[in-house]
Amino acid sequence: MGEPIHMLEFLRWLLSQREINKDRERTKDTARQRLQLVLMHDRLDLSPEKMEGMKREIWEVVSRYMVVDDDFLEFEVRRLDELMVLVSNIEVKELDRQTPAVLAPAP
Amino acid sequence: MKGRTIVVTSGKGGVGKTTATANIGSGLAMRGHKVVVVDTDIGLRNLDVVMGLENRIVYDLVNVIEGDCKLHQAMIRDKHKYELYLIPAAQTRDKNSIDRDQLREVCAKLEQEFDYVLMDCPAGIEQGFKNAVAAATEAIIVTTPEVSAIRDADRVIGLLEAAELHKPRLIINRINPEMVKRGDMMDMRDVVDLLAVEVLGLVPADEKTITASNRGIPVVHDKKAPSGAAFLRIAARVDGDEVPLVEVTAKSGLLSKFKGLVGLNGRAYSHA
Repeated sequence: MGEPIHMLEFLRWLLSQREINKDRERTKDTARQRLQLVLMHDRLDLSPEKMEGMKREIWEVVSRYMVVDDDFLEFEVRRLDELMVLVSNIEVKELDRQTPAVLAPAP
Repeated sequence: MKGRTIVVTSGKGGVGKTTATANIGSGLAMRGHKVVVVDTDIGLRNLDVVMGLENRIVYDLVNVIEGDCKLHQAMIRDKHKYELYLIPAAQTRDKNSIDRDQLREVCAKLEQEFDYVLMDCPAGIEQGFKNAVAAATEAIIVTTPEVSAIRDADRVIGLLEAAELHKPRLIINRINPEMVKRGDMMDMRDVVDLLAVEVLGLVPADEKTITASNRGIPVVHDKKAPSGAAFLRIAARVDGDEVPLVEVTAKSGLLSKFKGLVGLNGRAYSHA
């Protein structure tokens, strides 16, 4: 007379399946989030030349206000959690430059 | 008569371009139109086998372009009673044997005679793709709900835009409703949010697509097949009918649920 016990076990198993399904990762959400960033990056269409040009211009702007190193320590577009960010790090050599280049009379 | 020339493209290979071309072409012919499908995948011809016409090939697209035969000699009439013709790709030639102007010229001639000229585009975004895109005036993009196919579709959408083929329409192929239901496959909304294009149709994953291609009879001829019905609706939309989109959903009846639990419902989903 093992039948009722088997039935009970089956019901328990059924319920456990439901619980598992509730908490598990929905991989489509992962796929969508990853794709959002990948497509954003693809659509940016930043060639190495364009990146280099932008880098140079940003360096020029920054160097009008402070004395900075000749090159960036870091300069890239990358993913930060849900966002696409431009990360640029540049070493500041001197903060208290008396006259910003932009205001200085032409040499 | 000035027919419409439509390119069926995808970027990624293996998502169902050839199947879609064969089925939409057949569907349009079943609706009473005069249709020609052109395999532009030089060197990797396949549209002939999907349509079951591989034994009737004498001349191909490259023969037409190089003047070895007349345009009509390369047209193979479909086995069914409809006004449907195939121009096969050359199998033993290089994909650079034709250029865009030559293909455009062939399509221009076909447009005089047919209501629809459907081009099956090679995968990738190289010369073969560029030729087909340059010869077309409309585009259909085929994708599956997977990251790689969607990424490539997005790239192709950008390239079509650059080639001034505006407003491409999207077919999402091989949707598995069970996976969509449990959150393991992107659904129409997810894909549309990502790609921002108009959806032309949703095709469920269906074993009958495979058995149909085994036989060389496009699944659109099988009215009971969910994918066949989906392709027939797509053909109607291409033809200008306003057919509402039907989401691919899993049956959620008690029996189906039970079957799902015990792993019996491999095919127990519908497109309704």
